[in-house]
Amino acid sequence: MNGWVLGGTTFLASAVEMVEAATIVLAVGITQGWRTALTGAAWALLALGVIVAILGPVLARQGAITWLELIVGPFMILFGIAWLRKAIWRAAGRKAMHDEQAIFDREVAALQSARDNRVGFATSFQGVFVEGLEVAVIVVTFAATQPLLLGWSIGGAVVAGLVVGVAGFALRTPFSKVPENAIKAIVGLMLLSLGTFWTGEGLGIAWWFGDATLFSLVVLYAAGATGLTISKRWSIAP
Amino acid sequence: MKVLREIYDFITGGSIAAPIGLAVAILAVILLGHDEFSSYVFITLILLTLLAATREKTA
Repeated sequence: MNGWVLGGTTFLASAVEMVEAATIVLAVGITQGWRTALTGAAWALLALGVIVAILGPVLARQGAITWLELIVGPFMILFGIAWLRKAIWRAAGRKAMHDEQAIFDREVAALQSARDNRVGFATSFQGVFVEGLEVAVIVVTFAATQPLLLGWSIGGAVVAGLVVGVAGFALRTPFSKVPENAIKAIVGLMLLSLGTFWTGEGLGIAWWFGDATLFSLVVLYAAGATGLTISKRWSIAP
Repeated sequence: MKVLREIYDFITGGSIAAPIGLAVAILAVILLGHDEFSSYVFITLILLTLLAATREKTA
């Protein structure tokens, strides 16, 4: 398995989740001060780091063995379907696009009425932790099946977190122009393809082209998702 | 109960079709064996699961 595939997937997953988290941290920073916002975010990142630091190496030490693929693979498939179907719904117009500006305005309005700094801390912590938890689970599960590539999957997530964090702090506005839905669709496709590949391996399927089968799966699922999006658009159109 | 529901939603995105479809796909491979044909069946069933999940009520 190529490290770029795993690192790229965790990078994109982390980037899109951190964009959402950054909106909440920005709202807290503007209404309740940057110290509160950044302290909450830092504690959440620390908690996520502890989860990855404890579970990642433990699972990585087990080696890439069949039973781990059979546990991790189905999780990846379910995560992938969850990400991909939301992206399809949004692309087809069945679900509203994720609007960072609207979320930011809503958070600011809610936080302005709260005088207590603890509310800001909790909001910031929860925003980063909840958005980051899925990425942490993805990184840990990647570690379980591809222990030699643990650094790649952690690295992808950390780099994305840093890029979004620095950009968010420099710009201090919500990232309303990031193509979140397209990124979510790519992450969904990658999770679904990796999950299918690993579950199949765990079940004893000898994939047609070895590791290269993964790319066939990505193409196949991308075609399927595109077809579903087009058919949903037609069914919704008046 | 609420915690279990949260965990279920976290893993499946609130979909009922996805875990059922996945279970059927895994069962199919177990019953059919590990040959090339079962790999096609597995992928087809996963694609059908995605189709079913997108037809569910919007979460």
